[in-house]
Amino acid sequence: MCLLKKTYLFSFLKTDTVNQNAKSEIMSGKFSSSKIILFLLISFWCIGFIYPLFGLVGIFNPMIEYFLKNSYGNVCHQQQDKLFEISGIKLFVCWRCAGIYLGVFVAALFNLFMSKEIVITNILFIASSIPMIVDVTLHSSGVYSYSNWTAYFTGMLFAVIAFNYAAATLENKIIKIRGSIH
Amino acid sequence: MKNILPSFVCGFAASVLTTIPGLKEFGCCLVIPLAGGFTLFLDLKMNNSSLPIQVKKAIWFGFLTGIFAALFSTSLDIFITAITRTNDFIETLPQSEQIIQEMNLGNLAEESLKLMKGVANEIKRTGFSVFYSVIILFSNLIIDVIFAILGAVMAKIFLNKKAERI
Repeated sequence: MCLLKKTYLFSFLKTDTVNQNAKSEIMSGKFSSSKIILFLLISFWCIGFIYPLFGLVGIFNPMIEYFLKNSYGNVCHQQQDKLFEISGIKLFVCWRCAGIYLGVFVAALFNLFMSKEIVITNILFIASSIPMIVDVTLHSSGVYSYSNWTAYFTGMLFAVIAFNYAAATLENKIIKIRGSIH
Repeated sequence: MKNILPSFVCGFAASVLTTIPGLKEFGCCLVIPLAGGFTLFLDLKMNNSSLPIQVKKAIWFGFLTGIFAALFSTSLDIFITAITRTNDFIETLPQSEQIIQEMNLGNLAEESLKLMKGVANEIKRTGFSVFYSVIILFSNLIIDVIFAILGAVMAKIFLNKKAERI
């Protein structure tokens, strides 16, 4: 019952007490609704790029496929030889982007059960992007050939740190938006 | 106008960078978020805005940057399509056709494919299709706005933390 109350998306939260409530909800690190909303949004995003897999269960529409492919194409180069692949089916994003999105997904999942807020410093945030940038630079300049798993894990490392860097702010904003609706 | 200018500049720069194939391969997933983040930085420099930056402001600037990036990249895409009379849509259509034939996905998929073939023919003949333009405009708007807002929020956290330390 308690959990249901917390997951209830439209709880009676007054606008003037929003900041205080938002802060207490985040700082207490409960299984809060803002964390669930954030997790659901990220899950929804990840479901989008695995749409080609839906063909295996008979769900496929070329128009939706093109729309999603074009959408994810805005944030991924989608080179055929670098596309993330499951059971021989190529998805809409490359290995690095898949690493980033799945990294955010995993971090959001852990965030649901975390009791304390993780504070990431600017230096750690920048440092987490260095392996990814180095990997892109080195394989682009021909020092070594593209490795799927290197791209995947460097992307994932960056994503986990980046999520924790921004999570509290995003959760806070979600609660504020919910509060302003009421 | 002064408040819109940073978003306008960054949105335009991002749209150009995402359209150029060579540059797209290098930093595709970072261009739009970086543009969103750079908007805040530009606003600080141009308008002498004060720190700390509010989340609301970061989201608004990210939103504007995303809108401008989407509008410019859609315009560039339409312009390039009008000149070349071909694009990704036409090139990937045979693959979709192949999937539908291999998997026997039913009438709805085949009807959609027919519609898409019509659009492809229209582009080949005239270089323009309203349907195609609407599809790419919407997909650009959704993705660019989301990523630009994320970039702006990240930049807001970064700049605020930096200001706190100083």
